[in-house]
Amino acid sequence: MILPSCKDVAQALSRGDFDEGSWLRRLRLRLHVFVCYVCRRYKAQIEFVNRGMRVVSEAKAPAPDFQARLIDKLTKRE
Amino acid sequence: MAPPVSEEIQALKKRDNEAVRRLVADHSGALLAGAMSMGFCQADAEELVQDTFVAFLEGVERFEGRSSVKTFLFGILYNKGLTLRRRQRKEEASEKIEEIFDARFGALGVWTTFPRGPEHEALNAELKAWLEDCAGTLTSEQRAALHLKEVEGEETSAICRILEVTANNLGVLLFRARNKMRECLEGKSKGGEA
Repeated sequence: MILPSCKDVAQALSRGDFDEGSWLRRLRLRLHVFVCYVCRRYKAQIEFVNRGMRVVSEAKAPAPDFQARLIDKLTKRE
Repeated sequence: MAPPVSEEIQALKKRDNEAVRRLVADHSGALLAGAMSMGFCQADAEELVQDTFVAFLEGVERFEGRSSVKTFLFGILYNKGLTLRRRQRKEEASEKIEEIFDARFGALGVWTTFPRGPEHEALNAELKAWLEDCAGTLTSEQRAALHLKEVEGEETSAICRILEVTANNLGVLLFRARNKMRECLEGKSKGGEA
């Protein structure tokens, strides 16, 4: 069985369809990652980027009166 | 316990103050995070969220409950966000990241330029600044896609509805977003070593 190339694996990982498709496709992708340390490294980096996005999004807290101002604005009737 | 969705919508249609208050309490945090993740400054993001609620309340008559309130709100948010972004700056039509990605592989699709090992990964306070810098290299749409996927944990179908893209387009957005971030972070860790 011919395994997908590194590029195929990297594409699947970054597009986010690594875990999708037929069982055969998933098996071949997984097998490749299992035997290829470079792709394992890439996979870890993509997972790091995903976690990083969470860090970026959590970095800022809303102003304390943000909700109050919003509610005030929205419930005001002309 | 919160009243069921249909009753909540009815209350919102009547502009019931309590219902509006619950709507804001439930969704303003996630929407603000979503707006900030598109790279807007705090003031712009807050205004965007406010506009989103206003548009939602104006259009609540048309809300049929086919998508969740959250998906509906995010759809409005990103629509408005992208319009605002387009006004603020013209986005480049072509993306260099595809070339950079391709250049890493040889003819057989084997890695030629290896991704760098974990020993190069910085684990200090600089990291957060790097992440923010690198997120800044993404377009608003790419950031939105990655945010919805990784932070909100939305399903592919919901993200496609929110951003009004096909599943394939979403794949391209995520591909570009993740690879741009990865290349940028790698570049930074390389630079720090010199």
